Amino acid sequence: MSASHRRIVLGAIGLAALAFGPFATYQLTRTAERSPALLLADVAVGWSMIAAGLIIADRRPGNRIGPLAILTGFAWFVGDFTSSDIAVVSYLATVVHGWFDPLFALVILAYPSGRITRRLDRALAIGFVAVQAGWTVVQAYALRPIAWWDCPTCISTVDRWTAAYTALDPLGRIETFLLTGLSIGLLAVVVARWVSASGAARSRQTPVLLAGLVLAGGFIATFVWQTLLPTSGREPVGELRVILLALLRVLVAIALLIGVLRDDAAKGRIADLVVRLDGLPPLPLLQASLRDALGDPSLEVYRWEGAMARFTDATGRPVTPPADGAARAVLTIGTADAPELVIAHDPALRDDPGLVSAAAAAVRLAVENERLQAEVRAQLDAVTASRARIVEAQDDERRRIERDLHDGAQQRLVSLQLSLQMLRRDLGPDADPAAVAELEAASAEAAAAIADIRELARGVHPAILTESGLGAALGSLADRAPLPVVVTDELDRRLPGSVEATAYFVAAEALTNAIKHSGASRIDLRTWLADDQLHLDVSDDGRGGADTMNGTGLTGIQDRVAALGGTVRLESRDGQGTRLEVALPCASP
Amino acid sequence: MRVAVAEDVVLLREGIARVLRDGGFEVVVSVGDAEALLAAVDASPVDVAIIDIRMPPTHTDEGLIAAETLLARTPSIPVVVLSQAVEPAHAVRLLGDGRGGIGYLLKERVAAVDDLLEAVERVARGGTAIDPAVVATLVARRREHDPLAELTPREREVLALMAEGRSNRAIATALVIGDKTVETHVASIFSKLGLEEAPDDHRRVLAVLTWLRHA
Repeated sequence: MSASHRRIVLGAIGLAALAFGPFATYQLTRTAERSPALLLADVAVGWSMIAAGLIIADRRPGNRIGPLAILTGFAWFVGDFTSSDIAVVSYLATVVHGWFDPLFALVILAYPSGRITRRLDRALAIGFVAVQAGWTVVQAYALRPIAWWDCPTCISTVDRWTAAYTALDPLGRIETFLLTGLSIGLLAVVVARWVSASGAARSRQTPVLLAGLVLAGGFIATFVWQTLLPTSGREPVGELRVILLALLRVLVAIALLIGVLRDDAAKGRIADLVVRLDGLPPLPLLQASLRDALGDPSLEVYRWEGAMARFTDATGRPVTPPADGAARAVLTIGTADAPELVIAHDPALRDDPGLVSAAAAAVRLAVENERLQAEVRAQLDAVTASRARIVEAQDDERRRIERDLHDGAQQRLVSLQLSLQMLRRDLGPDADPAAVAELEAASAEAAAAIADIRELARGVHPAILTESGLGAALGSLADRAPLPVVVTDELDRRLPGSVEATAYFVAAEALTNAIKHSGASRIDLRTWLADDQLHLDVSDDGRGGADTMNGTGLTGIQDRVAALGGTVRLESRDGQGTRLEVALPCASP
Repeated sequence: MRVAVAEDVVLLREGIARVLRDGGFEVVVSVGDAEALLAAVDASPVDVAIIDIRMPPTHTDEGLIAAETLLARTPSIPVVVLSQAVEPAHAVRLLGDGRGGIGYLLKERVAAVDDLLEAVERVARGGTAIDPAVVATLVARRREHDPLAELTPREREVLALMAEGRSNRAIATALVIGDKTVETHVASIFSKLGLEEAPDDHRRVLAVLTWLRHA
């Protein structure tokens, strides 16, 4: 129902109540003399309930307390028709007028959100409705002859009326007894709510505490009069009581209205919304959360799908969102050129601009959060990938340089040396000794160059690492170490090139450090695979106390390891040697 | 003596072939990659094969694998591999459980013509030839309570020559000492290193190399 339609309907109900109220109250005067104060109090109770209901229905269209309160008010007025002098009207009124109290109980239980969620509350609500429904059926059946009699106030039938009512008396007591019990339960619930709440929340609970007291008090009083007092003393009981009770009911209606409309509840729901929107939920969930927070069951959320250049609704169907206007209020999250979400809601919520803008701010925050998070994730992914690529590229480059050195410069020098040797042979034994000496010197120079290049190439990227893998390369490191190095290689397969190279360079760097600084007499190198990770331990029996990895070649190594998503841990206590633990992820092939 | 040469750099291959021919060898196979070598050796049997470790297509250890394939087919075939890097592990790998007829030389040794010819001849006769640079690297390793420290300088020289695969006679010639003196040195070295005397020269090489790598 659109807002303008609803306004018309609510207006009509209001007009009907304006006319119906006095008409109903007037019925009271048909069978007895009533003071104007009592009549005024009577019409005030019905009107205040209906008015509160109308205002709530207008301002909080999704809150069921609105319609419930309207119904309660009308039920109040219906009660007046029991005094009608038309038999059938009186009969019908008698049958249904008792609904005022159960409806009132539902309002209390549903306060302030309009929903009855807790199990005990639901049980009470069902109890009230069930007892009243049963009593309605019983009365409708038992009193049905009355409808066809003459006026209830005529002398000719008054005895029969009394007899009919008296016949129902025992059942009536049971009904009163049950409803009294239920209202005491309700009172306990609202007292518990009030006691467990604190501060602002407690003040919000005060109207229902009051309402509960009035309701339960009314029932308990009736119960006492019906059950404990002698029959003669049962009849009402003075106008003052009725007027006081009526005034209390008016106060309760006003308090309920204020309680429902107060911003606390809305603020609480917006706070809930902010918490729930920690990260942008899927569209249906977002829509449900917003409906909840704004109390607007007609609210729709539409998402802009950039790739398809269209909006979809919560069910995923492509739609065109409504335009902002009298029928729907529409607000856009994102910019006009780049909308992210469109929220269409009941225009009645425009009366509560703070609420809507708070909810929109929460959604905007979530959208922005989501966007930033996605951006950061994407950047991080890109950086991680590029770091790994840089390491791989570096390895490839090193391998290429090593190959160029071996296959280029080294081969040429060997060829050169061979040529020099052949030349020396060709010169024969009678050659000029000076020329021979020159040749020998050149040959020695070439040999030294070859040895230099061999060591240079090994430092750049040892060939054995590519050929035979990490274990063999570590063994080769150990073959050259000026310290005893014990290699325990538990790898049973080759690993990705960048992983092997990184582990090798870490080991080489750690060996260099241990040899230079630790004063160790023995170094242990251990490699193994566990949980798809290559583990490398380098431990020495030196003096320890290498407090950080700063200032050593390990800083660069640490970057390399981190680039591959691995970890480095250094343990070096004074006098207890140094232990370097490296773990490198290497998924199974 | 019939020789096969597998070396992908043409200039070097021709150079090696020339040195070998000048040294009295008959070069019957001269190829540029491992596959061609295996095919050619199948077609015309040779007395010794000289194989570069780095060859096409990947330029990593094709030659080593070819040598192992050759040895698996004909266990008695003498093989000399030429390496560009000092990798004792490769030498030990070829020596297997102590067979003879194995040479592991650095590539540049081909320019030391006499050394190359001597090594190829030794291997062709079933002996062992390990490049002096490889042995030097291993001898230089430091060890916990290093027994090598107890060796006399002369004994160290003898140890290195043993590791290169030389016989007692060759050691005596190289150091210009008597055969008996060499035998005394060898016995002293083995006792100091805690090694059993090996039954032949090439098993002695394996024992010494293994000791040098792992002690």
